[in-house]
Amino acid sequence: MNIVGRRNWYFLLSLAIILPGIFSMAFFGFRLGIDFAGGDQYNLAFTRPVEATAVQKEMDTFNVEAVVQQAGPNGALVTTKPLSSAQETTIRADLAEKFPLDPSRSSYAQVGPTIARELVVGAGGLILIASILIVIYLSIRFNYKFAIAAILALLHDVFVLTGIFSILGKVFNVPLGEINTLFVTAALTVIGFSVHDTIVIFDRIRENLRQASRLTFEQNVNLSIIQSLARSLNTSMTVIFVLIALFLISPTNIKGFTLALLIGIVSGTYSSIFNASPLLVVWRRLDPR
Amino acid sequence: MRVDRRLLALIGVIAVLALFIDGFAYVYRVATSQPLTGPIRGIPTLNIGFLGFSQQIFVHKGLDLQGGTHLELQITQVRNGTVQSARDVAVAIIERRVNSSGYAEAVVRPEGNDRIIVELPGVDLEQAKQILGKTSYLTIWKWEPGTADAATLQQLNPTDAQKYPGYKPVYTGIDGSMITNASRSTDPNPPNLPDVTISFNNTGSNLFCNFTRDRVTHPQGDPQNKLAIFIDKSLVEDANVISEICGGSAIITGGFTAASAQALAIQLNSGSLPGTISIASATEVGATLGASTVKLSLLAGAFGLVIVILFMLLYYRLPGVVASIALLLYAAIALAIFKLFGVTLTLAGLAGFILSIGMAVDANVLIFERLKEELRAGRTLGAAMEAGVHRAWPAIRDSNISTLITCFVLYFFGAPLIKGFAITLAIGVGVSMFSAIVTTQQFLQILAGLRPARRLALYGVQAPKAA
Repeated sequence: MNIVGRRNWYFLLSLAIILPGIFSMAFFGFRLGIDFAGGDQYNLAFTRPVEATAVQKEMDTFNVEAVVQQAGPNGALVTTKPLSSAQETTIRADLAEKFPLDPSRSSYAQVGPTIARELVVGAGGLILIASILIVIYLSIRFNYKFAIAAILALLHDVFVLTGIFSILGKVFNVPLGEINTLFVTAALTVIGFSVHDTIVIFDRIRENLRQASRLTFEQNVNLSIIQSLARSLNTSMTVIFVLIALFLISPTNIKGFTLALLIGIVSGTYSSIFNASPLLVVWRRLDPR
Repeated sequence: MRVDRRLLALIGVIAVLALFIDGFAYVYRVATSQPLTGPIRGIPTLNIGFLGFSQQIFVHKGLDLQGGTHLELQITQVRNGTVQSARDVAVAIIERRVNSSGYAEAVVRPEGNDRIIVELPGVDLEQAKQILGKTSYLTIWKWEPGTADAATLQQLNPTDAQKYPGYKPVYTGIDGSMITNASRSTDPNPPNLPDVTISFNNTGSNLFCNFTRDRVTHPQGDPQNKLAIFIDKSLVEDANVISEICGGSAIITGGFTAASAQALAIQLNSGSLPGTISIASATEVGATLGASTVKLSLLAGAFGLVIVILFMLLYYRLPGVVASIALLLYAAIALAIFKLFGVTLTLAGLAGFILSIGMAVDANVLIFERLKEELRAGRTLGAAMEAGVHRAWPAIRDSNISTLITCFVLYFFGAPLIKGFAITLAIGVGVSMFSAIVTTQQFLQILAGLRPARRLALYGVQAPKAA
């Protein structure tokens, strides 16, 4: 099996997924949850089936830019612009009166615009700081080329994940593609997994390079990937099985979270096998020292 | 490398300790003679007298798993002093208010410069707002003959300001910032009705003393004998002054129920808040919703564990058994640490924990893949096991350290939700270093010493053909 030899095809596949994502992010942006946009959200649970359109009609009377989504037959997700405390109380009382509300299974969240802004800046900054520290550590353990290849693979996964969510949320307009704090958690998990996965293959390359052999650098990298393949697939498949199960049984409010994890883990596995290590070969060719 | 008896003993001790802490709820039930099923009374506390050790041991569930209200409050328009000192005063006041309402598990803590986080388990948002009380301004007025002018009518509700025809409210100069504390109390004289005790600071005490000394000269029933308390624009209390009050504290009586006395005490306390407090963010989770999230996570966890164990057994055979034991040990130790150190489990925290399970399994997969390679290369079982662990180590070390670096950054710079993720992931990675490497290595060495365990087929490898 020659993975490194066909590297351009694999890079092309990555680009085919990432480019539309970047395009969508640049032109359409994200479908922001209230954690980022600010606003109020009621996750309503009813004791019997209620149509989201009926809730929408009721909410429209308050004139608060309400968007209502169906969440299963017995549920609805209501998002509004930031409400005052009095407005919030009125709406809650009104909904409880008009619909068969079950408060113990419902939830409510309100985020002010200041907090929302802090969170966006914070999440981006954290990914940056963590990336820099990882580059430093990997530069010590391997060398800076390995470190940067690992971070490129990490960025690949971040872009795949955010790009797909931008497309889901804005182009297909499904609530699943909403960006909220849970999505940030998922992205962080994916970053952890991505680096972990890449390092395991790099370790094999490092070990093979130390042993005297007649293999070229390119052959060496390819051999290392093949040798680590069983481990990479075994580990990822177990995680993916668990996530698929989790996705199928998740309630609406955390389905996006499990979907993000699923996309990220698949992308992380792909990038560490097909991108990170072949990148080392490309770099070696451009700069054969 | 041989089996290290001291390490084995250590593994044994840690396993027993972890299982003890995990099962502590049952020990506690037996110790306090409670039935083994059903809700538990009191919070399980582990006391080891001679070590001076006393620790509550239970899973601290975050509000998203337990149900309740999480509020982030912001202080603006600070009346005097710095924002930070106002924040600290406000934290103390809110804490007192929350505690006096009987919510023992509530958390009130400062966040950043001008924020306060309030977590109220099992309380919905409306209740929470009531507990926090109106964060509004208290003033004390007196009645004097005359009619209220336009400025007064602007400041107070017209109906309240014109309660007594021929009398107008006049501000005494006493406001909520002079009240140091207010609490519900009970009249010592029968019929022991509920009343409210308030304490003033020096300025307030002097003003109140002069004010009551002057008021008590008027006959009862005359509006000029009355003391009018306004919160914002509304008259909340219009009481008779029976005697002068100069001790720095006063008692307000007058047809209270226990609840209305409590409410007034809360309102008086909130009048002394050092600034305007607004809700910057609020999250409310219904109790049943939290419980169903826990159920879902447990289901996912159990399902994941079963898949992983099945896979390890089928793919790696005998070492798979070792890995499964190590994995169960891992889960037991991690849970014990969560309980012992009171790590708050949230949905994000569970995600971190599940990721760390993946990494723990991965350490074993790495070791076993190397083991297989070494066996295929024709090494003896003992040598192959040693080489397997030895050669897998750098990959495990470097990947785990990278993960710990990420955790470190997230924990020290992240928002609370992200902190929860970082801490469980870091604990998980730390524990997995012990369970998946030390434990696995020792168990493998034991296997190598057992004659029936030496058949290569048990390791999923065909014996190499004699060269």
